[in-house]
Amino acid sequence: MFVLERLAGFFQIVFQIGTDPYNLVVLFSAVLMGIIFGAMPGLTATLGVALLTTLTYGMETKTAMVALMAIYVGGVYGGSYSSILINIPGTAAAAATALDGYPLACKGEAGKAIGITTTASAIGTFIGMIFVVTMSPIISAFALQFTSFEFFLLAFFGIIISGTLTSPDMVCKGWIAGFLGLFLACVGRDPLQFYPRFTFGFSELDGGIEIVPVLIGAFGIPQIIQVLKDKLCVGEAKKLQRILPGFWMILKNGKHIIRSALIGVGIGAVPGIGEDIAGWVSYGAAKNSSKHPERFGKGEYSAVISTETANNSCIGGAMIPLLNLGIPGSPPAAMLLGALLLHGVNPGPMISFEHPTFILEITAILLLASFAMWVTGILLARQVVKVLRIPPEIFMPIIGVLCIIGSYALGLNVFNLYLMLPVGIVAYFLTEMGYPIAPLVIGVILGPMADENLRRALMVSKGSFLPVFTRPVALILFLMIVLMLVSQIPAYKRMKTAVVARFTAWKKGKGNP
Amino acid sequence: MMDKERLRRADLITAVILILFGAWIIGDAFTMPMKDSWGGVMNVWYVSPALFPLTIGSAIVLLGILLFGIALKAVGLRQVMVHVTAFIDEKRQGRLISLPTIRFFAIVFLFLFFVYMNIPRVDFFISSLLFLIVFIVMFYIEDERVFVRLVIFYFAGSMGFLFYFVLGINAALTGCVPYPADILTVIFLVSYMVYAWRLVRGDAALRRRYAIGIIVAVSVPIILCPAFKYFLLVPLPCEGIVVTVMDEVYYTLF
Repeated sequence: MFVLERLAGFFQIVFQIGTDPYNLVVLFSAVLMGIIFGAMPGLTATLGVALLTTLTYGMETKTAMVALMAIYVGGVYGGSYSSILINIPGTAAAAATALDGYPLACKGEAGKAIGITTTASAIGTFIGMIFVVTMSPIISAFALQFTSFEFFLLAFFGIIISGTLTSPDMVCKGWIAGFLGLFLACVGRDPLQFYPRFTFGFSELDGGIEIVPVLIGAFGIPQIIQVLKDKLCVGEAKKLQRILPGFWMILKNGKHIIRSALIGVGIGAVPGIGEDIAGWVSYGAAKNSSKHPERFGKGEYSAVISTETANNSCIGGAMIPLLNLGIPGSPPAAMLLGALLLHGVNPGPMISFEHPTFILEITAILLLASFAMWVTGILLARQVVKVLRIPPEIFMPIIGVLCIIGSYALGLNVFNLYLMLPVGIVAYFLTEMGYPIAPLVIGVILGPMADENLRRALMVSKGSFLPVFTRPVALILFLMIVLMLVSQIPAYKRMKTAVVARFTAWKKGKGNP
Repeated sequence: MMDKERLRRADLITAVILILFGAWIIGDAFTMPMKDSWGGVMNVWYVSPALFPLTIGSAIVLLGILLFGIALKAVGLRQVMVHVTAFIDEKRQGRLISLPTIRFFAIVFLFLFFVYMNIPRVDFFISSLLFLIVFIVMFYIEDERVFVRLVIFYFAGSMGFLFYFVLGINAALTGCVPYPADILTVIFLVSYMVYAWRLVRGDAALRRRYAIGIIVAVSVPIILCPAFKYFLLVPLPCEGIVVTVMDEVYYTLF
């Protein structure tokens, strides 16, 4: 009965949003804008969400979510255009798509490839949506048992795991980025005693650092500097023929779609890592399970289907920890968290009580966004690819102005700009030196949660850390953190290799008497 | 990202900066109330506002030391000295000033002057127009010689503006002339455009790029400023001569 009620509620919300002309205009415009952002090399879905957040300030929460989810879905999908047509991934999420997408375009099958990626992306988003609606009540109910110790450890776990998995160079750089983010979160009056920390006497810093300008700075400014400094050259786009949805091809690749969607949801649910890793893992899994792995890299349809399904299903996966635990699953989800807080929605275990229909609304929006993305992709792809002709030297300065006015518009505060720019320049240097930005951003977002809950937990336990070992969830989280830290020590790696080698030798000896 | 060898050398410097930064966080955290009363609350170490910064500072110091160790192991102490002397030598001979470096500094200075100098003092329409025209024309005209000259021109002009504001000339002029900063910025903008035109007029391809750049740069603030001010109801950071005219037109029409 409960399931039926939920289902009825879900379709009611879909109907409400889908029949409101204003919401429909916002939905299709945001999807189109997302596709353009995704398609243009140098612009990302995260930046799209960041810039649009500032425009949604005056909107109703539901409409704002329609706009933001739509640009997120469109942005992740749009990256495949430039991957297929010019062999430059529009977003990191579509990097794996370029491996087989571009060879397909070279064979004269760009239209078919884009049609199939469009359908695969829509299916991926749809499967992700199913996981949001089914997993959320379970995770929410589980998270309600959490106390301050669990929340502190969860925040800490989020930073450590995103640091471990997103670091392009050494793992410790990911952790350093996370701690730098936590430091930024310390700026301002502390949440329990209102003592000013690291404010340098600036009253503007008393309320802490605003998240959205920091996110815009951290993602936007390094992008502008990188593209223009290194003069990113965009090649001539391959000719695009008629866009075909490729249903038959999709049906033939059913198992790839299911596997990739599960990979996408699973990776999306891990804090901080997002669509790009989902795409690569899914590509690897498709290649390993293929009967013809030698065809990969030469224009294989199952490869583009796998990567595009995975990166879009990752959106649903990223929404699960975001909505139920308040921990963003991917960089664009971190941006969405900022937007949610801006609209007075505090994601976390209490969301089902404070906003009973909110998760269903997000699910309904995901469904509508995947539909809008499919329609826009099939009908407007030929027009959208024209934006690939705009040189970065023209659109990057415009993005710069948008970053600036966007950061200012949120609080009508010029001080936000004074923060955004140094954060952006520091983020550029960090990126150049192999530090990932996602843990930094997650640190800024989860810092207040970690700080407040650590002190609250110790206040209750009168300074004792014993509850970490007596509460099962806290103990599991603690062990996972310790394991993750220890697993990076060379001695541990050597020991692990030795144990595995000894076990294999023992097993062989047992098998061959 | 840099190549591995350069990265490890850069890591050595970053590690030292991180250790110093972490130590500063710890030092500052020790000035926070740990045992005394603050706002009527008697502190103990576990509720102190210093607890979290102390944890973060210590973690940054430890990770900095770890990074330093890894980088030093990879580079080797002798190699560090070799690279330091080579760096000083390169600096002496001016070999460090490559085109990407100039590009980097040009972008950073454009943003710095725009955000810290122009936005708070000059009409937003004019300041964003200046930013876009300078930025687009400088980078879109793909000619190294023109680029470097435009960078020098813009930098010199902006330094002039910096002195103009710092020395209080703008405040003194405001009493006698309306919107002096806006008028001066427009004059600078026009001179930049004329100078750029003189540099590109001999080449048809560059002339075309110049024209496209100007058209795009002018169209953006024309769309953006009214959209934010009248559609999103966001007052612009500094409303000067152009925004006043825009207001007059808008409120007369609507």
